[in-house]
Order: sequence, then structure tokens, then C-alpha cells
Amino acid sequence: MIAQTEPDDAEVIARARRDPAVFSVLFDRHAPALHRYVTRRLGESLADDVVADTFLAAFRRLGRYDTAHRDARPWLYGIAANLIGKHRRAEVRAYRALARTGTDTVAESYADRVEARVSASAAHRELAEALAVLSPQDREVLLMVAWADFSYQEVALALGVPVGTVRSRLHRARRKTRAALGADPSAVVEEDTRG
Amino acid sequence: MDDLKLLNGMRADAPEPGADRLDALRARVLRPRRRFRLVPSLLVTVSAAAGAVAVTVVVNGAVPPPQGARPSVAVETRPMNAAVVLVRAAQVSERRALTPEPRADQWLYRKNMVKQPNDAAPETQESWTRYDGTRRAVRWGRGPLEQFGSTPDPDDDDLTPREYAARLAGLPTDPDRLLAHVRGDRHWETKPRWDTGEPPDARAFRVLSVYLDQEVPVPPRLRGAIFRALARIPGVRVDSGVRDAAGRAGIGIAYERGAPGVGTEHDTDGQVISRSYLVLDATTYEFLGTRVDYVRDELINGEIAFPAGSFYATAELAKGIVDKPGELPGS
Repeated sequence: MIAQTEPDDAEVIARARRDPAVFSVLFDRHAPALHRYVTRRLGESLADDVVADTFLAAFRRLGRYDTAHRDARPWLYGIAANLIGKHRRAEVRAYRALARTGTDTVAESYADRVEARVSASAAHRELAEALAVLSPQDREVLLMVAWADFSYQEVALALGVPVGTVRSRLHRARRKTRAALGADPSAVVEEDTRG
Repeated sequence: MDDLKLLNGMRADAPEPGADRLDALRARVLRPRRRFRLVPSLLVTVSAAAGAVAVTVVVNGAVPPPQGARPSVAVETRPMNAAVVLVRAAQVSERRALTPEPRADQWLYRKNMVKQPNDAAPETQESWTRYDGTRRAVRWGRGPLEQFGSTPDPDDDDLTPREYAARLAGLPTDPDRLLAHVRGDRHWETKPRWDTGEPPDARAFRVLSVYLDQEVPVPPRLRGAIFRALARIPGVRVDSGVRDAAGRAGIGIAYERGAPGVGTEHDTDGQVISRSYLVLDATTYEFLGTRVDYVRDELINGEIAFPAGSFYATAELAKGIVDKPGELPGS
């Protein structure tokens, strides 16, 4: 039996530059989780568009990827963040509706309708209100951390900003979510383990 | 209650896409044939048609890898004196006339041929890009003309031809300054702003190659400076008798030291696996295409993906400025 090691993303990208067919490896590796993340932001049908456009853009930019970064996730999510940004109004509208009515149009996009009518918890409605009023930059950081499980370093890579900026944006965002939940906003604890 | 934990529970039931949905998406991204198959991915044209791919590479094959060193195949190319050839290429380039800038509503036409390593026959693609970047059109082989709008990305990563021309016009035409610039240029600079990690010489070779393989014309003085800068990069090599996808023999510029994803690829023993070339006409030094020669078997996960002797190549068959998509230069 021969031990086979999966080539890491950087190696796949290096090979895809020579033979575009190899690019499918990157798609199969990252499209499912990325799709789920975008679904949480925008709903299932917009997620299709965003994920397709993300990989098409990534393909065009293969030559510019710095292969010193072995994991391509920050790069892909950074591209996706720009594309999600184009749907900012739809995203915010859904948070507002959820906060006001308890009906989550985004959750309805993927859930069985009947089931989805189960109204959101009070806490989630409060969170949705906070998400609606965050600046786009702060929201991006917060949701990359909460929904994509990115470290500070990964968010920094994805958004092309220093780690310190990630920290301050997250801090600002969490003050607002905590305030919305009725907690003491100053009690935000820095989770240094993430960075 | 921890706000992050609570947030984490929000829409936590969102599913990953099912197999059907994923298949449809994969087909959309990796459009099999005749839709937009991108041309020289090795060097990546900035506004080339959106990417795509036909063959699926099986990564988990059960084929045992060949034991020991992989045998190499003989190639008909011959190394030349790189410095002499590149300076000559610079001199010829610098004598060319400046191409007039197209109008915003004119279209850049390009006809390319692509030969995949595992395909018997090459494919041709014609593309039209409006100079202001707002629209594109593509035709695969003898297929229908497909037109589509083009939305520039919010970051400045995707440049329109006009923006690309402006960027080229702003580059230094002194070879030393140009080299210093591209050693640090991530092409693009604004996004993504990764740490450095790519060796400066490999980066310089890669970025200069991207410049030479553009649909917008490179100004003559800059083109000369690009060749002079290439001549200053240790490890740049020039071979004669390198053929593009159309079978035209020219000179091939390669980066023999190589780095991951750039230039000549080596195995762990330092043996050459594949050599990537920019192919230029041997007398006019016009861009002909690109080529990757697999000198030894290219393995992916122990399986032979591209056997020794196979090659990937592109060829630029025609290029020009026209007034409408679908129109050919000189018609």
C-alpha cells in the first residue's frame, strides 16, 4: 500500500496554472463549505451565484496567488466577501425583516417551508437587528469569525487588512451585538487564542 | 450568554449543497468545452475569458507510482545564449512603432489556440473585449458568438484593457528600475495583500511574463525594458526550437531555477519535471504563445497525470482592433 498525501492548496494552484483541469480539485475541496457560509449570509439561490463567481474569479487570478500561503481558504473567502458585498442591501433587508417579524427569509430559502415558519428566538431577532446596523466591514469580520470559523490571521488575509484592524473591527461589532442582547457591551472579552 | 456562541447558532441549520446542486455549480464553473476555456493559465491573461476546464483530474487513483527516478524524454530544443538573445529582442522591440490607443467603444480581438496535454487536437477560441471593459464576446471553434456583460470587480484586481494599458504606461522603462519594481510587485498590489513568500526573482519572472502575454499592446520602450530585465534575472534561459500550439517553432524563454508555480518544475532530487516557456518568434520576437513540456512524468498523488513527452501549449493566431464583436481585423 502506498501512502498518498493530498497536495495542499498552494500545490494544487501551482499545478492548475499549468493545467487548468487541476482547478477542479480546489473547487471540490472548498465549494461545499463556502456555499454553506454564503447561504447563511444571503440564502441558497444567491449562494449559487456567489460561489460560481468566486471560483471563476479565482481561476482568472491563479497566476497572482502567492503560493507561500498553503491554505487557499482566506483567498477564496476574500473574493467571496467582495461578491457578497454586492448584495449588501438584500442581506440587510433580511436581517431587518427577521428582527421585525421573526421570519427569516434566508432560512426559508433552504428549509422546508413549514418548518421555517417556526419563528426565530428572541435572541436571534435581537442579533439580526444588530447585524443590520453594523458597518459592512465590521459585519464581514464578525461573520467570518462566527460563521466561517476563521482565525484573526485568516480574516486579515482574506480582507487584506492588518490583524490589528481585524481585532478592532471585531471588538466594535461585538459591542453592538452585546448591547442588542441587553448585556453590558463593555464586557467583551478578547479571545486571544483565536489570533 | 456569550454573543458569539449565540450568533454561531443563528442559521446553523444551513446545509452544505447537495450532490445535484454541487454538480450543477461545478459545471457552471468548470464549463466543459466550448464555453469559456481560458487560455494560457500558466501566465494568466488578465481579461481573458472567464475560466474553465474540461477534463477532471482523478486525484485518488490507485495506480502505483513508478519506482525510482523517472526517465526523461529527449526534446529537440537547444539552449542559446540568453543574454545575447534577450538584448537582441529588446533592440528589435524598441524599434517598433507605438500602437495607437483604441477608442473606448472599440474591441480588442484575439484568436488563441490551446492544446491540452491529454487531448489529441487543439481547440481555438476567439475573444472580443470592449476596450472600456464593459462587454465581452467569445466564440469557441465554429460555435456561436456568445456575448456577455462584464462587471468589474469592486477591488481593482480585474482591470479593463484600458486600465491595463494605463498601468503598463506607468511602468518604469529603465530595466533596472523595472526589475526592482516587479520583484516587489504582487501583480496586483492592492489585493490580495499577502505576506511575501514568493522569491523575488520568481515573482519578477512571473509578472514580466504576464505583461508579455496581454491582449493590450505593450509600449515598445517597455517591451524592450522587459527583455532587458529578464536578461538580468539569474536562471532565465532561452531555448531555440520551442513550438507553440500551432506547431510554429520559435525561441522559448524559461526560468530554470523555478519556484512553486513559476518556471521550471523540479522533483525532490532536483530533476526537471516540466519546463514552461514563453514562445516568441525567432526574428521579430513577437509573442507566439506558451508551452509546458513534461520532460518526466508529472505525478499527482502517485498517478501519472501527464506522461513524459506530453505538453500543454497555446498559440496566439491573430490579434487586432475592430469596431464590433464578431468582426475580424482587416475585414
